[in-house]
Amino acid sequence: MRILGIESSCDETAAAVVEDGVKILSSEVASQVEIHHRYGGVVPELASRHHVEAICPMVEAALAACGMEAGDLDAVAVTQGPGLVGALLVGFGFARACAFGLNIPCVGVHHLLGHIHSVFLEPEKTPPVYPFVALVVSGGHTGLYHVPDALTLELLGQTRDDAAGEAYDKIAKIMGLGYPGGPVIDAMAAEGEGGRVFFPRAFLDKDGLDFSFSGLKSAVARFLSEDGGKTSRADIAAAFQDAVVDVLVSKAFLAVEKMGCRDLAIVGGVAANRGLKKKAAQEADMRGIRLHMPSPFLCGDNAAMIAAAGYHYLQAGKVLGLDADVFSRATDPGRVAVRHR
Amino acid sequence: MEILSITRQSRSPEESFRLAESLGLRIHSPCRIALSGDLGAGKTHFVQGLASGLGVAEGSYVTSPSYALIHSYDARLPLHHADLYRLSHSDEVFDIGLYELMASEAVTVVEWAERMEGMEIFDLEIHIEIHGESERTIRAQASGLHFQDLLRSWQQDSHPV
Repeated sequence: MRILGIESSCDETAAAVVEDGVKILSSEVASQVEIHHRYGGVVPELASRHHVEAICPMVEAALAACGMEAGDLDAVAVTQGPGLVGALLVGFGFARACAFGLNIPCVGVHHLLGHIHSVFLEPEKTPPVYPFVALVVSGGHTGLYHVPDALTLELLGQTRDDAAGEAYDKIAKIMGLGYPGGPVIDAMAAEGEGGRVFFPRAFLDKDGLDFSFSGLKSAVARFLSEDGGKTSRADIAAAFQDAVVDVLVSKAFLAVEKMGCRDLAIVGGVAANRGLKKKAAQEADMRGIRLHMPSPFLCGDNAAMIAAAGYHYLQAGKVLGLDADVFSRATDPGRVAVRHR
Repeated sequence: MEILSITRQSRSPEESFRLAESLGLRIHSPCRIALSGDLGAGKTHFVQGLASGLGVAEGSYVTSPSYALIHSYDARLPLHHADLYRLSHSDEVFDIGLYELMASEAVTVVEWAERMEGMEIFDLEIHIEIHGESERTIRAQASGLHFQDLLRSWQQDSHPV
């Protein structure tokens, strides 16, 4: 079964074709493709207009990349939420019209469930076994979920203020390192010595699974203004990264232990962070837990993960009705698939 | 028109939360708030207090919208929390649908409002100033009569909820 996936929940406009929920036939992401060339100039980086301009070329590119025509598709899967309503509507409207025109079913996928399905898309890697624990960590989300089956997310804990990726961006900004902050700080941290400075770890209540990164952000900002350039930026980056990674890894494995699972998936943009990957792999080895992290091209927002998750929606008969609409919040009660545990 | 400006002092994050909550409790009609303050001033924390006063369900996660641009919550009056920092053009504010939200029956809090054209659209301007690790000065301004009354009533609330 060949499913066209469409993603437009935030900055990226993406389209992909995935077979049977596991095999990527093509995957295109607008912000990574040479979109500037396509339009011969600067395109707004954000917001709905960008999606409007990018959606048709992305879908055409995804079909062309696997030598398919629209008529070869069996279904369309699209991100329904959470995200920016104006951005979501572009992909959602396009997907539904496309499916209607082709007379094939259309399914609405929860964006975070999509991220979790990114660990099923690499044939050389052994996929996780249900039930497992997933840490979704990106610029906009930082949450731990229990995943009992392909279509259910049970929220175990999440950030109470900033997402981890956002902390990276903000620290990179005050250090004058540019945007996005994750890759820059990750690279810089590799050159530095984390032990020279110590930043607080927000474990909140030790037993809980919520995160907080706002205090760390303030601590680094304060340190930078008081230090007056004495400590090398690489050492500060390393100390900051250590603090973030420590909290993410310890909470993730605490969740694995609490739920009695053997598999942990770490997904989302920050899953491409080498510091996180290294520390998580060490901890997994020590505890005998199977760790699943996608390759960098599947960490950021993409449509292959949406098509992969969409396959399971389709198998379960969760096809969109005519009155379906997008939703903005990750934890809106009563929304698809997510329930509080 | 005369602008009313009042300041409240807070000695701790808890006190800032209570002050914001007390303000939220007083809001009963659509309200547009521009919120500013340096990184680490506690803007998200202030919105958490405001959300509580507006009746956003306890246990809801009110988090920073810096990445997602807008977070929305159900409450007595719906609460929309936007952060425009990542935008580069004022017409992107239009693209993300912020003006529709601001024109709706809701409370809209906007960080980095200077990305928009003109501040006249705001009923309240709130600025949080950092003094040391946990002390903050919260300065609030209103030009319209209704919101000036609201601020006066907030100022008289010496024992915030």
